[in-house]
Amino acid sequence: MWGDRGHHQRITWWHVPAVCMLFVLGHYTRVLQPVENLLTRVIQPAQAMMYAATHDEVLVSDQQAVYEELTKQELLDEYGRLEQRLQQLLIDNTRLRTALEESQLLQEQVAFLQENHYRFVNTRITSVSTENISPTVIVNVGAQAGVSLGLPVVIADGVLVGIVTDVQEYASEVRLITNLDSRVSAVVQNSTQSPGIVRGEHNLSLVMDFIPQLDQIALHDSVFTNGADTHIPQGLLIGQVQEIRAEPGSLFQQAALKPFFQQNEITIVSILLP
Amino acid sequence: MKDFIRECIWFIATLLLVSIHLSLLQTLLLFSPIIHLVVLASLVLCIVGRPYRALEVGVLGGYVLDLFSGFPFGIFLISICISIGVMLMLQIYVFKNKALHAVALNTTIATAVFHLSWITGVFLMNQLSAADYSIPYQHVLTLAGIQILVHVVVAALIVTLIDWINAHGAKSV
Repeated sequence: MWGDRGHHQRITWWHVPAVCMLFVLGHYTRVLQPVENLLTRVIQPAQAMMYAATHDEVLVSDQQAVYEELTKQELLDEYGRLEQRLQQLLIDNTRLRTALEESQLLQEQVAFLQENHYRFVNTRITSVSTENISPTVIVNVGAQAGVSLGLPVVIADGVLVGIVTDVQEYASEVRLITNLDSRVSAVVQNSTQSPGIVRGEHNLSLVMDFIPQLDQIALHDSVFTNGADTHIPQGLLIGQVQEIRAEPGSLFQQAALKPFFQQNEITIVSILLP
Repeated sequence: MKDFIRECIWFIATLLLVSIHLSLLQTLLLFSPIIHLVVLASLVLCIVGRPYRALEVGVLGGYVLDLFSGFPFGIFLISICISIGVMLMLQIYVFKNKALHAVALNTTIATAVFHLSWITGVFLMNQLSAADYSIPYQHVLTLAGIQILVHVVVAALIVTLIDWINAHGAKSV
């Protein structure tokens, strides 16, 4: 037994393991959880301060010490290795960014489709068709997934990008609405819901023909599908009025539309099933 | 009231000691491996005849070290307590006087026991559970050797200082 100066407590050898076990038990039974939280909160600021005070200095001095010992050739090798690593990290970063963007687009797409109770199949654009001069793309689902001719292909919040024009077992061809041969029945979102036919222009933009001459349309009016085409539901976004071409004496007016997508930006699309 | 304030001061001092050990010493490569502040403080308190304080510092220090270490909880706490227990047992049953060689040997054994307990604890955890706490044994053993030396030197200095104070006090009386 040992006396402790300034204390009346007298401890025997078995106090040591007893106290120790009490603490360990207290930790694993979570009885001491509040105490631990408090201790952590109290200690962390002090630790952070001390760590910050020394860490930067230590890092720099460690790094300097390492580099001071290297020869010129070793430094050049190290430089080469770091350059390679940087390249690899840039590639990885780009891949991750692309994956993130695709994931966000897909989430948006799925949310829209589920909200509108559409049956759909998500797919990825694998290539651009080489057979046509006009823009068509190839997606990696086909008849086996229920895809058939004439089905609409959408992205994001129901933006119509094309129509299925050829179906194989595991792949399909999609003709983009900007294609010269593309025709879609549409309405302008104005007071009279002016009807018309949207076709591709220069394989880049869209034109809406056969809009009644007397209907009032304005710049930035949105244009939607009207549901007149087989398999294409009403309300899919097509584009926005960018220019109005009305010739006096003509029965119809024409509008140049700006599509809501760019061909080189779409990677994941959804095909609406009947 | 005085006792309460004294306890608070010890408590804060221990927390400060652990903070220094965890933050400051761990980042300064020069000091980190060669000294274990919590163990050393506990052993020094045993040497100067304050076993209650040694236990207090050891338990609280080990407890906080366990909270912040990546190892299973209890490894540091148990190791430090075993080390204190061994130190006290040796003091009472084997090295009954405070001769320099006795204190040096006692400190050597206690520090070695601390390291041995710690390594054994980690080893047992790896064997008994699916855990895989890898520790570089050779490196740790080397550091343990250096730590023992430093702890012994500190202990010897303290004993010398106590002896000097006692002698000086006796002369002045």
